[in-house]
Amino acid sequence: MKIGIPRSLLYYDNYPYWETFFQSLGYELILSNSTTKSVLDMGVLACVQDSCIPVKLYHGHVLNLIGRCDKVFVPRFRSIERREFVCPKLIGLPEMLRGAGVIEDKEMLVIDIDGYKNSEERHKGFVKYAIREKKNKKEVNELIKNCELSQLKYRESQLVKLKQLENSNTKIIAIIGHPYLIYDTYINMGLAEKLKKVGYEVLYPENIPIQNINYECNRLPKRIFLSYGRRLFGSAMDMMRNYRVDGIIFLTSFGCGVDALIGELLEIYNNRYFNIPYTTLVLDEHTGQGGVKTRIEAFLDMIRWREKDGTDISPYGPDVYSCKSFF
Amino acid sequence: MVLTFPHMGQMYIPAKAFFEEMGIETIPPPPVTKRTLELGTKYSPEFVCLPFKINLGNYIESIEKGADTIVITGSCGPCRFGLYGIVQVEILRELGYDVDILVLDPPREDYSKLMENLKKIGEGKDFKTVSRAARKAAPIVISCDKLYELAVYKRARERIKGDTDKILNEFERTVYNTHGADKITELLKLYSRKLKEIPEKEEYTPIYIGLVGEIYTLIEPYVNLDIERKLGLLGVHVSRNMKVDWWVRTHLLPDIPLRIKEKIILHRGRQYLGMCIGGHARQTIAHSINYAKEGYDGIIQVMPFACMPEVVAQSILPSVSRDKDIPIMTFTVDEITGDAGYNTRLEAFVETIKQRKIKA
Repeated sequence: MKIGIPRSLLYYDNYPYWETFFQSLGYELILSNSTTKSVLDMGVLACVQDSCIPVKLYHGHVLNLIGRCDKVFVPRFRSIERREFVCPKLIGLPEMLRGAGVIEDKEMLVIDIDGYKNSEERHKGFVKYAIREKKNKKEVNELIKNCELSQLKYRESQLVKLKQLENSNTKIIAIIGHPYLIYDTYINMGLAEKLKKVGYEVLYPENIPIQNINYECNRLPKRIFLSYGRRLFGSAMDMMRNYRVDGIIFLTSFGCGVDALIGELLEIYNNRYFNIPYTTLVLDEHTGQGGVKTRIEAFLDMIRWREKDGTDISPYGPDVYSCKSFF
Repeated sequence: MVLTFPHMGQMYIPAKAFFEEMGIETIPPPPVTKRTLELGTKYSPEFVCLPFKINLGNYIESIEKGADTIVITGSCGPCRFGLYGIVQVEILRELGYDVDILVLDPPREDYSKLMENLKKIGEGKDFKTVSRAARKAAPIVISCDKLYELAVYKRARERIKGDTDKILNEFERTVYNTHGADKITELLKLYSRKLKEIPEKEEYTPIYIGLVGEIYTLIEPYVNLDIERKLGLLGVHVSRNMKVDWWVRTHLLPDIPLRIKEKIILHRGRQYLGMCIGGHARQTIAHSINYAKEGYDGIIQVMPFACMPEVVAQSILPSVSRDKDIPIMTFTVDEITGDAGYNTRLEAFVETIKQRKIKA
C-alpha cells in the first residue's frame, strides 16, 4: 500500500518516527512536494479564511497527494506529553479536512496520538493500527521501540548543534517558531539562508535540551499546557538567560493563537530582564520577499550598530552587560 | 483588598450579589464601551482573541476606579483562555499597575493553589457566610437569565418596537446601584413583571434562529454588537446555546438532568466532531444539529477572530448545513465596531429565511 505523508505541520518534528513505522509495516511512503506557490494557493482556496497559514498549507499538501497514493496519513495530535495539549486546530484536523471537502474519510488514515493521561500512551494509536495489520504483540512492541529510537536519534542530532556553536565564535541568531514555520523554507522565505549568507549562525528551539526548557517553564506561576508553546517559551528564555544568542527573531504566522500569548510574554520578559535585540516576523499568504528582507536587514543593522557604538555606558537604555535576576 | 472581575454579559449581577453578601468590597467594571475596547486593544498582543482585549480593558477601567485584585476563572484545556492570567498580569505590571490576579483553576489542576486563592478572596470569612452567600446568589443567576430570555421572547413579538429595550435598559441602570442579593432578587421580579405586561402582536409567528459559537462572544452583548437585540427587532425569536445559567449549572452545580441532556445533545454531533477540541467547538456543532432537529429556521455562529477551536467548527458547519438542510451563517467579530455591514448581513440572512419559508 502506498501511504502519503503531507510535508507540513508536525511532519517536521515526527517524520523519523513515522518513516520507521510505515516502512517496517511494509508500506511505500510518498511525500508531498515541498511547498510551492501552487500548493499554497490550493490550500488557501480549500481552507476557511480565518484559519492560520500552516493549516491552509496542510490542506494544500493533502490535495497535492490525492491520486498519488492509496491513503493519506493524517495524524490527530491531541497531546504529546502528559497533561499537555497541542493547538486545537491540530486536534480537529481530520474533521477540518473532511468539512472542507478536501478528502473523503476512506482516503484518510487517521491515527490518534493522545498522551494526555500518560505520555507513554501516545504510542497507543500506532500499536492498535499495527496489531490490526496482523502483527503479533511482541513484534509490535519491538517496532514501536525502533520508532522511538529513530525519533530519539533525530532529537540528539539536533542537540549537537548547540555544543558546536558554543565552542565557536560565530554570531548566533535564534529563530523561535513552530517547526512547520522554521523548517519550511518556502513559507519563511529562506530566513535561515539569508542569515547564514551574512555570517550568522542560526539556533532553533529544537536545539535546546528539554531539561533547560522545563527549567524555564517551571519558573512561571502557571504551567503552559500547550506543548509547542512551552517549547518556544522555554527555549527562548534559556537562550536569553544564558547569553547564547545575539538576537532573536520570533517567527509566527498570522492568526496563530499560541504565539500571540507566548510572543507577548517573551517580549515583556526580554524588555524587563535581558534586553537582547528582538523582533517579530509575521508570515501570511504574501509571497513577496521585499518586506521580509528589509526587516531582516534593519534588524541585523541594529545588532551591528549596537556592538559598534555601545560601550560600557549604554547609549540606548539599560546596560547591555548586566542582567537583572529573573523573578 | 478591593475585588473586581471581567465582564461577561449579565454575569456581573450574580457575581456582585455574591461578593456583596459575603461583605467583600467589590467594584464591578463599568459597562463595556468603546473606551474599554480601545484600552484593551492598545495594550494587548495583536493576534490575541477579542475576549482577552475586552477583559484587559475591563481591568484597567476597574483599577482606575480603585480595584486592586482581579478574580478570573482559569482552565487548562487546549484553548488558550487558560494562559490569559499570566499574560494579563505581566501586561498590567508593565503598565505600572500593582495588582494581583487570582486565577481560579479547576481543582484537579492544583488543589492547594485553588484553596489558597479562595482563602485570599474569602479573607477569613467562615464557611457559613460563604455558603449562605452562594445559596443566595445562585438563584439570581437563573432568574437573571430568565429575565433576558423573556426579553428575547417579548422583543420578537412586541406591538410597539422598542418597548422591551426601554424596560431592559432601565433595569440595567438600576441594578448597577442596587446592593445586596435580596434587593437584586426583588428588582429582578419587578422587572420580569413589567416585561410580561408588554402587549404582543396578535397571530404572529416569528422566525426562529439559533445562535451558537464561542461562549464569551455569545454572552457579552457589546462584543457581538448586540446581535440578540438586532435580530429581535427584525422580529426573530433568538435562542442561544450558551448562557451564564447553563454554564453554572453544567460546571458548578450538581444538576444531573441538565448534564444528561447536554450529553445526549453532544452525542448527536459525534459523526461530525467526536471529541472535545477545546473551547466550545464541540457544543457549537452538536447544538447546531440540535437546533436543526428542533425545527429552527436558521443558525448563526458567532466567534471572535482567530479563535482556534471555532475555526475548526466553522469548517465543519457547511457540511452540517448541507446534511440537515438549514441555513448557517458565520459571524467573525473583531475590533471593528461599525455595525452597518453587520446589519446588512443580518437583514439579508433573515430575508433569505423568510423567502425560504414562503416557498416551502
